[in-house]
Amino acid sequence: MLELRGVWKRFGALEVTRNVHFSLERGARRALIGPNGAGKTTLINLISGRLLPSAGEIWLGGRNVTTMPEARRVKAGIGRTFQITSLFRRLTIEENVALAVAEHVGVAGRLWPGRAVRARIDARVAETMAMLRLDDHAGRPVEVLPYGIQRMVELAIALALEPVILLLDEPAAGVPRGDVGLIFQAIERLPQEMAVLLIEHDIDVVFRFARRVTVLVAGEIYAEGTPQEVRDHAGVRALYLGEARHG
Amino acid sequence: MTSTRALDGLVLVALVAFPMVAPSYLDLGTRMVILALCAMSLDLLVGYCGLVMLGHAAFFGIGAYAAGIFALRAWAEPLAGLVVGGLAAALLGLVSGVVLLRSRRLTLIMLSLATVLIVQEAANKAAWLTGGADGLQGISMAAVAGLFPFDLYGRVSYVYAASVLALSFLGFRTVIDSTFGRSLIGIRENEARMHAIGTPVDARLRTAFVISATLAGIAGALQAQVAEFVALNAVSVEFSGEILIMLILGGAGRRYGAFLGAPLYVFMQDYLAREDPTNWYLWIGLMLLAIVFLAPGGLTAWMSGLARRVRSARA
Repeated sequence: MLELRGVWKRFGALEVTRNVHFSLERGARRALIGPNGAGKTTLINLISGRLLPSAGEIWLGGRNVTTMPEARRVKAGIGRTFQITSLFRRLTIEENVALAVAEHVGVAGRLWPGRAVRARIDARVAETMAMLRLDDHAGRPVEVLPYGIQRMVELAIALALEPVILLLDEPAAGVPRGDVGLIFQAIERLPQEMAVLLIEHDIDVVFRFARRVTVLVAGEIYAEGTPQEVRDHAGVRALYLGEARHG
Repeated sequence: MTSTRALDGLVLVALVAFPMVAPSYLDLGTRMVILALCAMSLDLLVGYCGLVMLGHAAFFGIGAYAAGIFALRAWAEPLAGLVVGGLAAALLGLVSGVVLLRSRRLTLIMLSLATVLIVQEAANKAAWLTGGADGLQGISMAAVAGLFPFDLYGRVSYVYAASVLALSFLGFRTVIDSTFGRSLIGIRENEARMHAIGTPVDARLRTAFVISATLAGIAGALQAQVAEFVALNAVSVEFSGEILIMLILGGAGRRYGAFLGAPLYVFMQDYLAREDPTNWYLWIGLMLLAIVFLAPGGLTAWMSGLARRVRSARA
């Protein structure tokens, strides 16, 4: 469904992504791990279209989307969350989600959306909020909500787009430990047909969530396999897991 | 929603009531109405899209010149002139939007300044068409829709301008309350995230730009028609700044900011120019400073904050 063919990303002389070949199938549960600076977020930025590759190709559903702008890739089915929360902070949760819903159903550019369309947006917003159990926080500006709830809103916006592929960039980053479970419970409830690529530092979470794990080191794919294969990979243990345990 | 509807109604009531309350100040009222329309058009960009501009007079001016020249050389019927003024400004908005909207913040301010300077100099140089520095003179407007000739007391001018403002406000309200308007607010709040939810940000801003330019052009056309004259400073950096000041006074992105800011500015300008003709700009500057420090969101924000405090004190 999604395929990266020999993708490179350079910033001047710095090679952040190096010859990455990577594919994601429908319904995948893939984790992307690696030490800090390995290029994980860059890879998500390349897939989502926020960055364009310096070389290589990106294919989505049989279409070459290498130079397709970010907004059009969203329409093609790629949704994402951000490592650093990127919300409409002065708007309420409903307004945040409604922006995404309106865009997804193709009515966001309308001057006369009509009552039926507004009702459809409201229904979808309510459904998304209920799915993530955000109803209790309705009507409040996002900026006053606890950070854990803000991370859930981040996820709600992405889910409102009903993506075929969901890219989750450290969805629990900065969330108090007590609230982390809420976020991963929500992720576990995602529709089965949706392909999910998760960047996460918590190895226990990664091994619980993922059916396959890709290890990125210095912009290159270092190892790939089932959680057990990656866990048993001597190099990964030395490079990453060991580092995680000791650092 | 109910309180919004009530306030919308209040705006329309104020427009109707003004000639009854202040029948001797219809000229001033007409100027307030025209400038409120122009400030409202700027609000769509500044308040709702988050684009700070200092060249809005380019659209006002081109609307004024187009309507004035149309009346002089083609047809002096005002409603047709409004359409011509609006279309001319829309065209300038369409073309300049493609260039200006590639930038944001300081660069956008500089480019918008450049736009107004270019249009002003073009108007100055094309004296055979625009009257150059002497202004466009000799306009004589026909009756509105062939039925209502302009009178010496300015009654028809006021009713005409107020009707156009009321209709434009209904249009403006439709825009900002629509899903399109909500997406503009989304762009203002977090443009990067709007790209990530699939919004064609540039196209949407260009549309807003054209709508805003059209409304400013209509305001300019009104000004040309009721004054039967277009001064070169209708297209000036100074006037662009004045429109922005009116909006800041009233409150940008707050629906009614232009309706408070423009009348207040015009009233203070008129009053201070009479009382202290040499220093009136100083007083305007001080008033602006006071508003910025004491009511940073403008008068509308200050008033809604006050209403909130009163409500919570009662509860």
